[in-house]
Amino acid sequence: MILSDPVQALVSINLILTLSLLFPFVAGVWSLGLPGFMAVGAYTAAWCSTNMGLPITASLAIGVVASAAISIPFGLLALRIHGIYLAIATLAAAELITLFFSHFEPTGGVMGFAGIPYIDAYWAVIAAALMFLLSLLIYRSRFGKALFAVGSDPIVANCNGLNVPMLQMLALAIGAGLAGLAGGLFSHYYSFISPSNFQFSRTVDILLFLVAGGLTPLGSLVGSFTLTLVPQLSSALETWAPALYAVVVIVLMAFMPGGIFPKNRVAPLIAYIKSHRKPRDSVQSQRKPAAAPQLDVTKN
Amino acid sequence: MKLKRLVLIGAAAFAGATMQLAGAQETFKIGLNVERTGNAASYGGHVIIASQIAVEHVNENGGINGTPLELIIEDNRTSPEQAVVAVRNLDRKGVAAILGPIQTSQARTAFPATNRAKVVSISPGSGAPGLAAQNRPWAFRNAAIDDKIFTDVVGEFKERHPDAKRVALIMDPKDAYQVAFIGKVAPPAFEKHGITVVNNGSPLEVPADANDHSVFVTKLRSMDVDAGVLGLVIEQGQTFLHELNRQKVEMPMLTGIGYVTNSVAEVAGDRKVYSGQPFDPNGSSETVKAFTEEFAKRSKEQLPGQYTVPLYIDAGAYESIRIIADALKETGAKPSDSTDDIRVKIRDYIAGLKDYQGLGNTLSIDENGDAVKPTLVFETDGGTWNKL
Amino acid sequence: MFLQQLINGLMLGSVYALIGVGYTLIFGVLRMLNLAHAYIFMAAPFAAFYFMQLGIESSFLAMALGVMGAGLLGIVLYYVCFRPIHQSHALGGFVTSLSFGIIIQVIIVNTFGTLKVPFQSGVTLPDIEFGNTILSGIQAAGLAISIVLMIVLLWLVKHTRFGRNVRAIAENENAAQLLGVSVRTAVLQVFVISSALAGLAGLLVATRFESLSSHMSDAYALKALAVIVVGGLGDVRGALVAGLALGVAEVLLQAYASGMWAEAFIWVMLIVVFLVKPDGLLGESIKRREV
Repeated sequence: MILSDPVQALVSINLILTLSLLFPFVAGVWSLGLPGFMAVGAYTAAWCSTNMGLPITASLAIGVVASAAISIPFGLLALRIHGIYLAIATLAAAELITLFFSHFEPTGGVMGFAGIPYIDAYWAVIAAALMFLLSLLIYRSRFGKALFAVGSDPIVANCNGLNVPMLQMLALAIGAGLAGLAGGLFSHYYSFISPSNFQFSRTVDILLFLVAGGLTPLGSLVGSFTLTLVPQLSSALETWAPALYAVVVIVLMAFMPGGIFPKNRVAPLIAYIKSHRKPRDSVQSQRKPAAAPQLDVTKN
Repeated sequence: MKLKRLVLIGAAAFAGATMQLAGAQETFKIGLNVERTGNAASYGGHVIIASQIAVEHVNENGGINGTPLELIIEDNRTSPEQAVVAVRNLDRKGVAAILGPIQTSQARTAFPATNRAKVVSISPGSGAPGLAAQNRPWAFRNAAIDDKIFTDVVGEFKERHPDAKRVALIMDPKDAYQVAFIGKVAPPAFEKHGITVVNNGSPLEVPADANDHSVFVTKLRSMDVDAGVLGLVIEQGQTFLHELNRQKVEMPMLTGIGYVTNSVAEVAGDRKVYSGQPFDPNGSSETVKAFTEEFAKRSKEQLPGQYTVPLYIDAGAYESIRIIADALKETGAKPSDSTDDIRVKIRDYIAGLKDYQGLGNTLSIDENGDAVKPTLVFETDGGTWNKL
Repeated sequence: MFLQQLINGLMLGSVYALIGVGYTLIFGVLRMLNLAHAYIFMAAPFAAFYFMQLGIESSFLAMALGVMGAGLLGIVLYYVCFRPIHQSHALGGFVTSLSFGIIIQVIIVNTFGTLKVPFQSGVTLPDIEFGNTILSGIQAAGLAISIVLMIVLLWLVKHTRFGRNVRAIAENENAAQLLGVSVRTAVLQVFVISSALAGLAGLLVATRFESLSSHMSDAYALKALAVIVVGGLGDVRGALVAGLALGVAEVLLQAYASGMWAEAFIWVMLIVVFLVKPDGLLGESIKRREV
């Protein structure tokens, strides 16, 4: 009942967006270009399906390609600028993209783009599930480890023979493509988009999911899932509901500053929870092992 | 141990559910898809009050042939995505019709959703052109943008300031309503009355989050005009008026819809501000008085320090609930009817609404699903608004 | 009108500068962005307003209480949001401070609503007019106070032990600790000063515009971030200069170019600045790798 259609769509789109932020951040690229990429994907996909009559799957794919392509100038920025400076620069670049759409009349400008063909929520759910699995695969692959290495210490990674700039641009492109997919899904589920849907506030929301969940695919899943659902369940608090959300985040970060799943493993989390529970019978707690191996959903 | 506990919990839940069903009174439910939290929370708070007053008035007068109305509130958190969730939740709760969202941002996504759910949504505040037209047949608006309104405002202004020859347009370029109002509605209205718009095509742009309007007012001063046209939302409009006072700019102002409330009149002071809207808060009819007095009382209690004179949005909300109630009454709806039937009846009633006695005025719904209401022009006079 | 616009720019810039300094101080000692800063900026005038409503006659006293309240909030903020998080989780502080700020905002919205609240500071000062230019008394006083504050801050950072401690920690926390600097005390002091500064800036703005709003920090929050980055992270002098420059540039652009170009220009300018100087305008401060 809580997971009604629109909530499913919301969670799915948020998960894809969180993953889109994960990839560049893991590779050390502090890209806040999310709203820009999402906008490009959204408008491109909408244009293809609404004005050119293409099937929706094709439109979504073209949207992904378009946003990945747009990430190239961002990537060039990333070669030269780093850390928080890059964050601000990408933020600025994303704002420029949104500004462009505000004045681009063929897609409606500030009036927005209406009449986009509707897709059911399960499109978003399936896409999100696929992207999550893909992310897990990449994360555990050599490529994923290379990205991680680049993010941890680019100089050492370079010394070890990794092509740091290329990897960073790839991470950025993957992130952009994911955001573009989310954008395409967004435009078709809500049937209407306008530049006001692609603002910096969205980046902040997604960043919260990522940081609270932990910089891993599993973390992205948990972060986006939990934090999207908390507001849905707190409507009884009426006007105090946003405060609950904030309190949950603070408490989470106080106990788990690295996120819920800082490594892509479930076991440490279970051990942590168990170690904080008062044992009813001290003998009983000694008998059980700290982490049951069969609970490992993913091994790193 | 665990199983026993589970069974106990399950039994309790089941008992609670059945008790709920058994004790539940038969009502007609009206959903409120409202901005209860988020940036528009103040508007939402006032619309909730207006809606609650409307529901109580209906119930005091015997409800719907004996069956009371019930208001179900869903918070859309001033978020377009959440507005869709709100529509779905209200749909699931079996509401007969939905009032809201207030703002265009939320209406843009809620309206397609309401069409899919096949339940009526009426927005009391969305003004962006064409929105209801794009979402037929289930979306309606009780607050449309109307060319006629502003032409009348300019007419009254011209009568009182016959020497005014030049005006300047002021707006937030990112707001769809303002783009339409300032871009398409205002210039022809001035042309009709022989007034030149000096910055037609390149209006004075005030960003939505700008707190400091000094640069914009200074720019206005350099334009050598006789009056300004404030397309901004009421909050920004107030800030602009305040800065006009500070920079000692003496010129009358014309505004878009939504300025007729005490907070604006107070900041306007001795300046003449002209605004048009379909609702007269000082109206003499019994219904209007009953509404405005109760609204002022509750606003003071529940939202201290905020405005107490109902905006056209609040009036629109009250009116829309009464319209839905009348739809239920006139079509002879019974609580035992299927929800789908009731919803269709309400939709058809509203779509065919002609010359309905609203809150101190008469309204009709046009083929776009927008309400057509006569204009009233207001002028500030030393701290209050007067109807012209 | 140019002089008037210049003054407008300086007024806007002084707010950016004051907010930026508080931001940059905290970043210097903690390497984390304190997003609650903008919300404390907004909360202090509301606190003053609340005290005035309670019946406190003197608006100066109410405002002083507001500033003290802001400082107190800074202490709470440090203990709740930043202390539990280690420096290695830079984004953690970002997230918790934002949440702290949201809680503040929810409290304010539930008490006062989201619309503007008129704020009478009770201070009436005569206007200064020369030619076409009007400098309202409150504006002049605000500008004067801002300048005094900036001078005091610069002096604090350059010539007091506190300032030396802060700069030392910003450069190398471990070394500073080894040399006897009590990091925890210094950080607490930074939080108090930074938050009080934010509160004071908020009060100046509220007094100047005679209004409060739960969203009054929106206009400044993002720009303040740009200010501290352009000025050099952790560099107080840089934040002051960058803030003033940004304010003047923004105003002049809005006055003499169209809105869209003004906005686009600011973003393009930021990107260009970073391309030319990837480590920030005054580059000598925090080095890239530690960020």
